[in-house]
Amino acid sequence: MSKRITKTSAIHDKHSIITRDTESGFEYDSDSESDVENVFPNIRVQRIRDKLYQDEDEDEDEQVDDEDEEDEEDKEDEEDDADNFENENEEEVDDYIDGDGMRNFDMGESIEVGDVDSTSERKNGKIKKLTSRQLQKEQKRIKRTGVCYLSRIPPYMKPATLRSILSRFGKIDRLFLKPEDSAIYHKRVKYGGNKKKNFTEGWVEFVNKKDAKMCASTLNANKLGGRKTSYYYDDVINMKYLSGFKWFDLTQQIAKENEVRQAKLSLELSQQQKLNKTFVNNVEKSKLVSTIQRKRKERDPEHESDSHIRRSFKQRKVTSTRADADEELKARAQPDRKLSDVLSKVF
Amino acid sequence: MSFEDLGVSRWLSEALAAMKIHTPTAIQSGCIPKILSGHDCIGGAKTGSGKTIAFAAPMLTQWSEDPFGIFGLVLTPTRELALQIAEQFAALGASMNIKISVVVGGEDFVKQTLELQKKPHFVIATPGRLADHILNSGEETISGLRRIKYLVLDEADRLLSNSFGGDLERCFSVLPPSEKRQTCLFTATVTDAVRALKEKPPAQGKPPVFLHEVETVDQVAIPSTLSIKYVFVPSYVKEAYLNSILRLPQYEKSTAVIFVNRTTTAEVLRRTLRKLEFRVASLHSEMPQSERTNSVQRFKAGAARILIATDVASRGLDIPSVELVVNFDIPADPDDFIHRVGRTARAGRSGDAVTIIAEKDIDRIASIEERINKKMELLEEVTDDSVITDSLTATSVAKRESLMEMDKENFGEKRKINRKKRGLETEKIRVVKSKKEKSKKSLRQ
Repeated sequence: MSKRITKTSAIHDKHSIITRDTESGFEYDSDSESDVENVFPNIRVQRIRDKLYQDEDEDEDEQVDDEDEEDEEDKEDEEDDADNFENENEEEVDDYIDGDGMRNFDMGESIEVGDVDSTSERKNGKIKKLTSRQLQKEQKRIKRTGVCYLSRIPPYMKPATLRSILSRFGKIDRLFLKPEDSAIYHKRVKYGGNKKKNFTEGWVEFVNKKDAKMCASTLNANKLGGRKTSYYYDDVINMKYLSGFKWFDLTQQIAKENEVRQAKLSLELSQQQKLNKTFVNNVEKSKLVSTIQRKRKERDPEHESDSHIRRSFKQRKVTSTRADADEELKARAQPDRKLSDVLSKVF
Repeated sequence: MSFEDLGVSRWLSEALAAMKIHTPTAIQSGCIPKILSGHDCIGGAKTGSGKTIAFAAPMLTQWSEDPFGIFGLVLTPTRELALQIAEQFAALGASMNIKISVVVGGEDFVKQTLELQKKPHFVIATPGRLADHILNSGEETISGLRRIKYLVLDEADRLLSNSFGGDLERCFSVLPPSEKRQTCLFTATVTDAVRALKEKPPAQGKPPVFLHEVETVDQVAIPSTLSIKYVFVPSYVKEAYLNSILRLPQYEKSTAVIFVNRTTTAEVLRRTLRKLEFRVASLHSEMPQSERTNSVQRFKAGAARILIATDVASRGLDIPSVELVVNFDIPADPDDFIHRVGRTARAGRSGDAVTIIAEKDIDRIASIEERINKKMELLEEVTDDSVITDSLTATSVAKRESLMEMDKENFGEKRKINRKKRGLETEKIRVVKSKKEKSKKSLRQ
């Protein structure tokens, strides 16, 4: 699992916990992590995360049965989905806003980030701390979610299409599809193949884990179905409900790796500083020694400078390919059997 | 003396004149008539002495009398050199509708196969990829190679070394026997292999091999317009010194090539210098070929001021504008040092070579100084103090960061995997062999 997760970015972790922001669908590059970090100070993120983990262990597969609010929305979804499914081929993945106000961030990896009730107040660029009630609410929300893994995506299916298919089973929050290797893509395009983006695997987060389970058990190893004429009618999808798995488990490892790397970097930097210091000290010492020697010489021109060797280094080897060079230098240049075979054939 | 006097055909001398080449150089006037009269040839030639034309002109002359494909095959040790030679061939033969195919690694295999099947007039190749084609592409592709009239081994001292042995063996297995083709060989040093070839008696019914300045080529000293300087520093502050050297007022704007011994060093330096806001390009074997070509182009066009390269760039690359060569590492072979500093001070221009010497390189420097018969001078502008105040901290931080980045991006992973594959292959062969032996033994019993 770990290898697959590597592609996703650490940002989404923070994003998922703190920003549930519907109206001001803010955008950022995947590179400008620092911006995001400015907005969400690390410490706070860590604190919230810790709290979440504590609660997570207590009851993993608890069923939560308060879907009442969302039933209405689900109906609307289904209508939208039907539309989406029909004109799937016209849809642009890049900058597209879903029927119910979801926004896609195309971060080079095609990640869709959906909305859930906003718990963090980010008004005029200022964020407030979560109150304990809001935090509880947020934790509850996360506990309710369920994640499914898709080991195969029908060829060239766009995230938006997939979303519309899957949301037949319930409200979807986030969806991440891993694009195929760029080398494979370029090769295909070069030899006149399909220019569309292809995806190899993916993860989807349902707002309710009940939906996720239902979706996985229904769709797994089954035809997609839908309208008979649709492009994906006969395609088979593979899907598994990941029990006890949350979205931030996907991103957690990368966040951890980044932290480790950062720590390592600072350690190395301090080491380097020490090295630099020794260099500076040595330079000063050598100056001192040379002045002393100079003065001694001035006083007593006959005095021999005590330039005895303090330390000797093992020297790197010298080699040569020239025929005139010493035999030991060109030890590696002797023609071997294959080469002498070649030599006999040249003239 | 003009090219036509040497026996070069009219159209070609006109093409040469169009390229502003009117009078032949020493190697050209020596080799062209002999090659035209059917001699095999060994030429002692430094790069930049015009040897491409020395073999291209007679080949093209005879080809134009009876054009067929594949007429000639040129083998070079590096891809960049192959591309450079192909450019020159294309320029010379443009008026005659010449067809050239470049068969080098890192580029599209299938495309090359198709090109070879169409029988181009000349093939410029590196041995590894050509051997690959011979092994995998089928008879239709390589049938042209069985009829070639000319074989040129460029940089023969490098090419006729053990690292190319296996590939060359495979190439020679399809080439016609030596009586049926003419072979030209150009070298900058006389190695054991070249000496063995030189002393070999000529094959029956063939004129003797023509030798041009073969023994004297070793004595060629570095150009007098080149000043060779050094700094002597601990190895862990080499980068900081490099930074200071590149920022010296006299080198601030000059185009520079920095030579290193390893691909990893090249990559670290590229990232470090980029962080320090130099315009850099790099050239080493662990880059995709497209990037390699791109880097060279960028450097030639002046978009990058600094080229960081391993020894792939030490030979043959002709970039006249290079004003400074920095040896960040010291090569094991003194001749490599001469090749490296030969990238600057070309064709009578002046140039500087700065060598950064660390504590473990003193033996190597001694052998280099003995070889070039010249003592290096100390570069006095860069002092310990100036390095400490200006560049030490910034450079070391940049270096550590780049190392971290490379760790993150798994630099060198590909090479490791390839090694592993090769290692497995040899192991498999060993296993097969031992099995065969066992079965033989059991049969005997």
